[in-house]
Amino acid sequence: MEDLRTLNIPNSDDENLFELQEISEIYYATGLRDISRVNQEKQVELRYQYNDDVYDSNDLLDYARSEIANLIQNSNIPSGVAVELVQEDSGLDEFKYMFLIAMVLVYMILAAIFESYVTPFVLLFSIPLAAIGSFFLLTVTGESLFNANTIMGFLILLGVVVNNGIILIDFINVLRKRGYRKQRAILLAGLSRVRPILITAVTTCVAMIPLAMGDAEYVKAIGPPFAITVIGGLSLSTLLTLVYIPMLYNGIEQALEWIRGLNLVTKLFLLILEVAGMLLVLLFLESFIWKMAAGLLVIVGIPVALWFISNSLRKASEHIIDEESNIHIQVSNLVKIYGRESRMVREFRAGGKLARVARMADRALKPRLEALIWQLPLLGFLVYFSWFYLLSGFWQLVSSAMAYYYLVAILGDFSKLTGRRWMRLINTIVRYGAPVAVLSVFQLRWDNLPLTLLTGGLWYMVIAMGKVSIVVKQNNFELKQVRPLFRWFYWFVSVLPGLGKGAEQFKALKGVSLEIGTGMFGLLGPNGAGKSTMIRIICGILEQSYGKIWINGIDTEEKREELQGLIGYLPQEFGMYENMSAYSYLDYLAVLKGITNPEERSKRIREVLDSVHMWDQRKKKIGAYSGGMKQRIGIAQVLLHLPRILVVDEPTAGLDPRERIRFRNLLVELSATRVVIFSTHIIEDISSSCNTMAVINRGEVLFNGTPSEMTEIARGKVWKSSLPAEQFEEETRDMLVVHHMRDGNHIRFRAIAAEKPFADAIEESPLLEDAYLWLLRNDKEKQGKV
Amino acid sequence: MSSFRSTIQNTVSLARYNMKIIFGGKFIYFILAAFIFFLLFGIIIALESNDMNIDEVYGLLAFPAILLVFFPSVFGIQSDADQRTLEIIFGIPDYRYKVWLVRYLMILFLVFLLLFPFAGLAYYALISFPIVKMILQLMVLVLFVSALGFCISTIVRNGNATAVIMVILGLALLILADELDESKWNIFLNPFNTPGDINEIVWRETIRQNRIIMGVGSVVLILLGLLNLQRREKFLR
Repeated sequence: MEDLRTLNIPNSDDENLFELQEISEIYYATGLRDISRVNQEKQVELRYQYNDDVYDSNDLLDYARSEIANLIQNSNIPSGVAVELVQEDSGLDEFKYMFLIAMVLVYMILAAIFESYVTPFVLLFSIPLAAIGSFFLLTVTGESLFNANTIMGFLILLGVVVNNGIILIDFINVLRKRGYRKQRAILLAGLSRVRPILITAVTTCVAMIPLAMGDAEYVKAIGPPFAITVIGGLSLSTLLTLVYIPMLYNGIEQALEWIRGLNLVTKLFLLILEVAGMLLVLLFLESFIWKMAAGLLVIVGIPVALWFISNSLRKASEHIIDEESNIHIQVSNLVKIYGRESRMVREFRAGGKLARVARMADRALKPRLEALIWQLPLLGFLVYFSWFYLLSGFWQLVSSAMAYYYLVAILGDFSKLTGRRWMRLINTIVRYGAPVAVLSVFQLRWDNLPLTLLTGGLWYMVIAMGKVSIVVKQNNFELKQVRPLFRWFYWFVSVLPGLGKGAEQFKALKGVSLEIGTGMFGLLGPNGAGKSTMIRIICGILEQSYGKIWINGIDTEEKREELQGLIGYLPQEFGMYENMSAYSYLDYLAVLKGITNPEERSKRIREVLDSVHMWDQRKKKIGAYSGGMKQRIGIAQVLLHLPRILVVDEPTAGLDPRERIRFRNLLVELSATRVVIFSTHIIEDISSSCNTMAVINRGEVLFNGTPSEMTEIARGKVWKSSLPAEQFEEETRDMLVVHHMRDGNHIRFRAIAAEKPFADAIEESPLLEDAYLWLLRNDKEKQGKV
Repeated sequence: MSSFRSTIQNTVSLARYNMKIIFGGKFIYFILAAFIFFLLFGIIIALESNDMNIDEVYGLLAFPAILLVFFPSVFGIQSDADQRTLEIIFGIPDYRYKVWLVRYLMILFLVFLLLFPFAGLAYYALISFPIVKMILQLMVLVLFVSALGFCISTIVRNGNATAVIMVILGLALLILADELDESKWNIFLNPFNTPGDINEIVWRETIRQNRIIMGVGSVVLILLGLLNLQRREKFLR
């Protein structure tokens, strides 16, 4: 060996000699001694490989090839030696075409059967999934990735994985033909086809396991690569088929609709990009896998990128609605639930509920016990696999943990079914004792105490977190009940997503329907009625849970960004940049709102500051203003640009009476040509300014109409009377007293009641305030009855 | 008034107001910190290294550059939320471009300008190097880091959490930087540090691809940030 290490190798110009160990690394390996001969001449094969980066670019590859050729050309080759340069090994190239042709054939058959070009495309997407699964499992098990057996396995997999998708999509199509909505059809198909898909996949995988574990010489060479390719590919693609294929089916259909809806120029642009992209891929990429991946990326990626860019760059447009036409807002059945779970979680929970109902139907003990007993062989296999077959410590740990959880689940079911005390005891012992036993054996194998302790600590923490999670999810759980020592842990689990309880749901709007036209529209309601929620949804700041809002027939959900150009909004609670002066702040906002002419801008700022009586204070920093002054600056900023829809959420709160009246009058002036939505809980503001109005309480509309119509609601229900002071409280207990005043020994009062409360009571003309109170009282009574 | 003059005037006003807003926070401290770090590392390198290389200057300038861009890109939205200006901004049409994109670009421009005195100082005190080329190369890194910060801040919607994620990502990328070493996927690839064992043409190609990847990555991250900013509800708590 020493001779080999110090063997002198000349460089290309024969001037210097280098020892072999200086220019190479020597690996020890075992192999057969053989001398290969071609045409009775000895042949030595020297293999070389470029850096990975070189394969990514054709220029680099050409350069590298020419470098190698130069190197050989310039080296001194002794006489009698011939060098043949084979640039790349293309032994497996044939397979690529076989694979490609297989895919085309599958596509053709599917396209013919489904009578669609798109559906087979969706189905063929399960192939990359299968490839990922196979690749992952082959890597994990340390098998070689590319050999004849894995490729054979993959070719077989092609037909099998597509099968799952076919079952699913075929049923979706059947359901849609029966008249189901697309979303519902997808969900139903998923629910009812889970079983056959899983059975097919599980039986195939289980049947392959013995082959995958084969240890004998020839079996080891052929069996494991083949079986592992199938198992990995089939398991991942099956699991993902259930989620991914329906999503893709839905997504591709939507994408095609989107593409069909594009204008001709954009369609042409898309086509040119696709063609150019494919040409680039074909001309500049060398390796087959990169070509495939990049080709797929071009086909899918370019429309996705175009969608992504056009959606990211969506902008407001004032011209979305013709300037001549009047603005009309229609709110239809608007519902807002705060803290609502995402659609995915909701559907998942619904599935869980269904499963619970199904389980409840099957309560018989014997069949359930029998079903459990059948799981024991699987458990036995897992134990064998973890402790006798696997050699790598890490995978052994993963597999043991799986076996542990499986065992705990089976024991839990047993003890629940039998209800015996000793069974529960065994369950508890195994649940908390098994990790210790497993880790003790690991310690003997690993001989690394810190690692064992760390693993054990983590394991027990996961167990504890699972236990605590069940407790914190209970409705009546309070952190105070926990002993102080463990409180932090309970808190920690409760804030973790999935383990904690999650946000509580609250329904702020319960099916609100309204029509709002040009003029001043008042929104009246007590605190927490849902006014701000509705206003924020109209302005596109919140998203509704259900229901629609149309502005001149345009769906606000679809054209949210575009419609922003029409809306000016003053929120109920707002802040400002306090280190800026009022003038600078308004100037900044005026630029942002599109008043780009500096002269017009300064004129406008002067006007709005005058209108809120803040011109003299314009140079002061906002931080130095009182609350009312800040409110006035807020109002000034909303008046800067006057959009066609002006939405102000309780703007008069915190203003002194003079300012309030002035601002109200200003809004009335503005409402001559635009929609002004004005929310308040001050009735006077509405009665003296609004053409139409709505009363909202607890997320429901109690009234929608004109203020005078609303006043009529209380006609015949408002009474004026007088009672001795000592009887007043007793007699008016069930009445709605609007106001009362002491007059000697008597109390004069104004009250609302459905019928004449006292013989001497005099009917009064109603005011808006009376009608409002009457509406709220009726609502309260209705809620009380409910 | 001509439209050109008013455009200039508007741009100046916008720049001035945005500066006030950016500097209203703690940005000034980050400038100071960046300068102190720069001086400290500069002195250490000058004293310890006998044979200064241009690639060390890249490393020396990269840290303050990232520090400068870190705060405004990560805490921009959070500071608006803290000042309760978020809902007013959401009421402005095209707020995403007019407010945050403008501020973001201004910060980049500011960092670009601030790097000149830093680079100038290194030029005179340490070693001569092409200043503009160095700053432009640094700006690719700055652009990517800030776009990442901006995008994450629109996903996480909390300044502190974004900062923590950025630091963890930064550490992970630094650890990966050793693994990735001279690969084009290495974000911290030093374009001035030509390795001895790689052909120069291969290296130049790697740098070119690395810069393209980072540029495209930055654009995608910014677009993703703009898309996320359409979901106003997520930002209001």
